[in-house]
Formats: sequence, C-alpha cells, structure tokens
Amino acid sequence: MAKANAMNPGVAALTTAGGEHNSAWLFVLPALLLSLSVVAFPVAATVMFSFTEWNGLGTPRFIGLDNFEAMVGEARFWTAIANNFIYTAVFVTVPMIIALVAAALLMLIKAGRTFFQVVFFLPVTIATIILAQIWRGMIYSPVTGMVGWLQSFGLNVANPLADPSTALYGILLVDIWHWWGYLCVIYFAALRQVDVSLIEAAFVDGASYVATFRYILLPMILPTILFMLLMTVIWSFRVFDWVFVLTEGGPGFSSEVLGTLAYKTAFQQMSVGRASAYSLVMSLLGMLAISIYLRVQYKSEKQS
Amino acid sequence: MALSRVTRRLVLAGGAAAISFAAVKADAAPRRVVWWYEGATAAQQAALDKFLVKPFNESQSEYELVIEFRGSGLPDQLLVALSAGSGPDIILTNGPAWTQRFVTAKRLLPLNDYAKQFGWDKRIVPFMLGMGTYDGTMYALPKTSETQVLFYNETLFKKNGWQPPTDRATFEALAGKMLKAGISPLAAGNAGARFANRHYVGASFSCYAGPDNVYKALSGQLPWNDPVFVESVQLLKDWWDKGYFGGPKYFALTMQQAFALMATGKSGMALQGSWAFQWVDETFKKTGQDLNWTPIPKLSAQVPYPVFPLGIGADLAINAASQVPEGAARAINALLDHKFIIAMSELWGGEWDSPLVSPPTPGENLDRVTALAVKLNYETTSALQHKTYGYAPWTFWPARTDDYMKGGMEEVGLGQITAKQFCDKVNETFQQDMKDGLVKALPERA
Repeated sequence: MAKANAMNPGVAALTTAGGEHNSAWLFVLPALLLSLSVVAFPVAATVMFSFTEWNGLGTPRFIGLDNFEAMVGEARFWTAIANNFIYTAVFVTVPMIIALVAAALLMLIKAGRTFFQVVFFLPVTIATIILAQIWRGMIYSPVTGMVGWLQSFGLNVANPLADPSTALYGILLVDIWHWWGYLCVIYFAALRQVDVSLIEAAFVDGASYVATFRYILLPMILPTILFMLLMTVIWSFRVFDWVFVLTEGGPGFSSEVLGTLAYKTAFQQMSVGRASAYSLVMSLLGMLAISIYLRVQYKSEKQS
Repeated sequence: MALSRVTRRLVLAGGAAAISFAAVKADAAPRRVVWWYEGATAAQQAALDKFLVKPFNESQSEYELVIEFRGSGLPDQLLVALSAGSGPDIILTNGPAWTQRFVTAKRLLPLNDYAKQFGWDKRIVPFMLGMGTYDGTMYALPKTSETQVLFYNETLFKKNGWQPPTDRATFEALAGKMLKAGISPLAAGNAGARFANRHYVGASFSCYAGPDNVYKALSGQLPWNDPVFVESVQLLKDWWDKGYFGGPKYFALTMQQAFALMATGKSGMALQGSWAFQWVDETFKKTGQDLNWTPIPKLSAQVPYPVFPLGIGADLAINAASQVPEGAARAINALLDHKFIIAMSELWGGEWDSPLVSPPTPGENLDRVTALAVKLNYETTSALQHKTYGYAPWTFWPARTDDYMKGGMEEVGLGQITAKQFCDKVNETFQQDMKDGLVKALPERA
C-alpha cells in the first residue's frame, strides 16, 4: 500500500492519518448538496404536509394523523395499493423474462444485432404521452384503432381499457411493450461484458447454450439484473403517466394507483395534505424496496 | 445678464431633459400582459391572434397581450404558480368552484373598480356576475356561459320520421326504436375526459329532480341522498343498462369521436353542452348531415319544461401579483366586444359566449350551424330571465364533490355501487365541503 501510495501522491494525500475521511467528504459534497437541495426539501415538505389540511394555497392547518386515518378507511386507497402491487408483480416478471430471453438470443446472432437493439430500444426514447395516445387511438380505439378494424371483421375483440376487469392489464401491456426493449439492451450489454474464455470453456466442456446461460452468463450478470429489478420496483410503485393518460384510473376506480390518486387528490380535489399522505405511502414502499435490495447486495458482497 | 444666461441654460437643460424623457417614454417597450390559455388547435390559435391579440396590441402602445397555450395541464400549472405568488396576469380558471380557492387564498385582484370603469356590472348578466362575487367583492368574470341540451341528427330523424323527444316517455320510446334499428341512442364517450360523466348527472339532477330541488341541495336544505336524487341517478343507470350510452364503447370513445358517430347516423342523439358546436366542422360538415338541438326532455312530471342546465365554462380574473392589472383588465374587456364575439363564434363555436345582458346581434347571412348556436345562446339568456335554468355540476359543485362524481358515476354504471351508495357518498363529500366553506352561495331562484 505504502509503495503504491509512493507512486501516486494524490492517493497518498487522501490516506494520510485522519485525512482520508475528510477528503472523501469533499468529493461527495457537491452531489450531496445537489441531492439535498432537490430531494430533501420536497421530502420534508411532503412529510410535513401529510399531517395538515391544506388546499395548496392558504395556510396549512395541523390535523395530526387525520389524513392517515381517513386514508386507511378509504376503499379507493386500498384499490390503489392493490393495483400498485399487481402492477409491480407483473412488471418485475414479464418484461424481465422477455428481455432476458431476447438478450440471450441476441448473443447467438452475429448479423443484425445493432438493428434489433435499435428497434427494441426505440419505444423508450419516445415520450410517454405520445406512445399512450398511439396505443389509445391506433390500437385500442373501436373507431380509429386496430380493435375497431378487427371488430369490423366480426371478431370479438374489445378495448381492454373500457372494461374494469382488464383496464389495468391493458395499461400494463403498453408499459411492458415500451419497457422490455430497454431492459433487453441493458442485459445484452451486461452479457457482452462476460469473459469470453468462460463461455468458451463451457462449450469445450460440452455445455449446451441453455446450460451456459443458466450457469455462466446468468450468475455473471446477476448484479445488473438485481439493480434493474430494484429500479423496476421503484418505477412500478410510482407509476402515474401511463395510467393517467390511458384511463385516468377508470373505469370507476378500477385502475387507480397511488400516483393517480395522489395527483387527483392534490390537483382536482385541491386536498394537498391528503395527497401528501398518499405520496408518503408511495415513498415508504419505494424505500422498502431499496432496503431489500441493499440487504441482498450486502449479503452477496459478503459471500463473494 | 449673467442671471439671464443661467436661466437660459437652465431652461435649455430642462427642455433637453424633457425631450429626452419623452423620447425614452415613446421608445419604451409595451409592458407584457400574459394570459395562460388551455389547449387550442392551430386554427383556433390563429383566430385568437387575428381577432384579439393583434387588434388589442395595435389599438394602444402601453401593453402587449401575449397568450400562452398551456394545454390541459393549465389548472395544475395555475395552482402551482399562484401558490408561489407568480403566474400569468390574466387567470383563466375552470369556473367558480376553482375561482373560490384562489379568492380565499387572496391570489386574485378585486375587480370592482374595473367593473365600474368598463361597465361590466351593467353589461354582464347579474346572475353570472354574482358567481364571481364574494362578500360583495367581484373577483372574476364569467368567460363563457354553457348550456346542456339534447343534440340530434336531424337528417336521421327526418329519414325515419322521428320527432325530437320532449319528455321521458317519448325519449325512451325513441331510444328503443333506435336500438332496434342498430343505432346507439346517445352519442357518448369519456375517453381522456372522465369529467364527461357528471354532465349526465347534472342533466338528470336538473331535469328529473328539478332545479328547485338542486337549488335546495346546493344550499344545504336538502341532502344529496334524498330519494329524488337517488331516482335521478337510478334513471341514468337504467339507461346505461338498456344500452343508451353505447355500453363499454363509452369508455373507449372520446367525446368528439362519439359526436362524430352521431354525424354519420350511427348514434341518434347527444346529451351535450353548447361547447359541442366547436366539433361541427370536423363532424357534421364533413358528413353533410344536419345537426339540430332541442331542450333536454322533461324526465319527471314534477319538473318544468324546458330546463336549461347552465354553467360557466371558465372564469377570468386578474392575478393579485400582476404588475399590469390595468392592461389585464383592458384585455379582458376586449373579450366582451361584440365584433370579437361574433368573429370568434363563427370559427370557434361555444367557447366565446360571454353572458352579456345584450348579446351581439349577428348578421343575417348566418350559416345554419352558427344560427343554431346563436339561438341556443339566446335561450340561455332567456332561461336566466325566466328562471328556467338548471345547474351544471362543474360550476356549482365544489371541487371535491365534483371530482368524486366523475369516478363514482362510472361505478354506478358498472354496477359496482348502487345509486343510493353513490348519492350517500356525494352527500357526505358535499356536506364536508359545505362545512369547510367551499360551497358558493347561490342567487335565490324566486
């Protein structure tokens, strides 16, 4: 260590007695300040407002736990929570599997890899509102969409967004369609980082491609998968745009999620205090996911 | 001599200063008056520019009117901006229920002085003006008066020998005939606009429960779960079950798409508001079929006929933080100009119907649709004079109750809750709103 430090005076300066921690803080400080300024204040404000009755304009009135008491007694809140869990459960499985399979298949082909990556990745580069309108108008609409075109041939096809039992899945289909390609490109990039000699060794030992994928490639990209899993869970819990544009949480309240409930409560009912309580629950669920991820990561690092 | 030289110099210096000041003043750029508007098509934006912005800016040099089209997110943006003490000079709210929040938070400028200066208090229908007045102080002007009626495809009616319905019996009989003929009775859809749900609640409340009962409920004298309101909602549910609203297609069609179906004869009628005139160019004018309207049928024996559910589509107010309130007031005043209203109504029907005591008299060579819109505008004014008006939810119901009705009515249609449960929840929410002082006091009907 001393030898290495002698060769690198910068590192030596960092690790002098007592200086290591101070210097590390200096490096972290800019990002920390930025993060605190754009995250800490809204978080603190949300927590504070969740204990108040406030219409977003006047003076907030402290009401203790009233917002939370009313929230847990509200059927719409539990519908939203249930929908968030369904959304997350589907979202951390279906696009993940599709993306992994597609990435594994991309590894098998030589020509056209770039083309497929571009095609798969394309939806994620287009604004949500545009994609949602395309799906609503060109796919799902019984007048201007593919659903209507199929219906004109007498096929019994319905717009999933119009039925309370399928509305959430209709939204999920659009979101999965837009998201899996992104995951695929990330996984493919991770797979390409795997040491080729390991793959070659497996083939030399007679392993099939499936076995190689299962025992060599998959474990090697596990950190990437876990990270994307965490991000997907967080994004699932804060889903808002797809639901709002496609159904506004309807029909009835059948596709309501915490994000749309909080938004409507704040901006349509002008109950910002209550909306803050919903948002706090969303944040806590996200934090729970992060805690689980960090624990899993810590364990895996400890094992390795 | 020395004194006169000094005096001469002083006079010269003063003159030069005065000339320079005048020159600077003359060169000073006009002060911007910013108005955030909702979404508008390119043609509508061009019309506003041609008939409002340019004439206003050319008529004087002190102010420059700038309209920013903010889309459907305007209410959210206004809430955030006004909360932070900023925002545009001219405030366009969704109507009295929204305006009241801004008034109680002291974000709007009192308009009484401007009302006297520009004669608004004499030019605008007192009932509508009253909706923007709080404890004697005027804070908002009604931008557009809106009315709900029953539109119908006249070509289809003539072809089948049908007469416009006037009561529940004739309406339901006609709807039955349409269903048998494979025609959807009501052109209805709420995709991307779930607020459309409570258009039907408002129509049913006004034309089944009756405007007197609605007035009592809005004044806290009658609960919203009174049987007369439960029956009103149940009526809508029965119509839903019979397929009058088109079944699941209701959730898949936008309001305009549904209206377009009426223009092709696939739907026969539409319980719509006066704003529907803005869709005619893209629908009836393209199919070549004729549109007409009739008052909403009398849905129960107890209510008068006709009843026109009235609403205010939007309120105009001035930001309390505005640095150019005089300019904002002048721009608002320009919207009441007869020439402007006539020009805009021909291009953007149903959006610029200011509730004036003396509405403009359009030229005689009106096209058929504009004549229909003008006739409806006159009926609206007449309904106010003769007390035959009803109440549109988006104007008279507080925001929280109004918001519940959007989703709650869908639950009734889908059979997830009963009409009684819906009315119980409406009543519970409304009573809380009333307790919180969020219900606007109404002018008496008598």
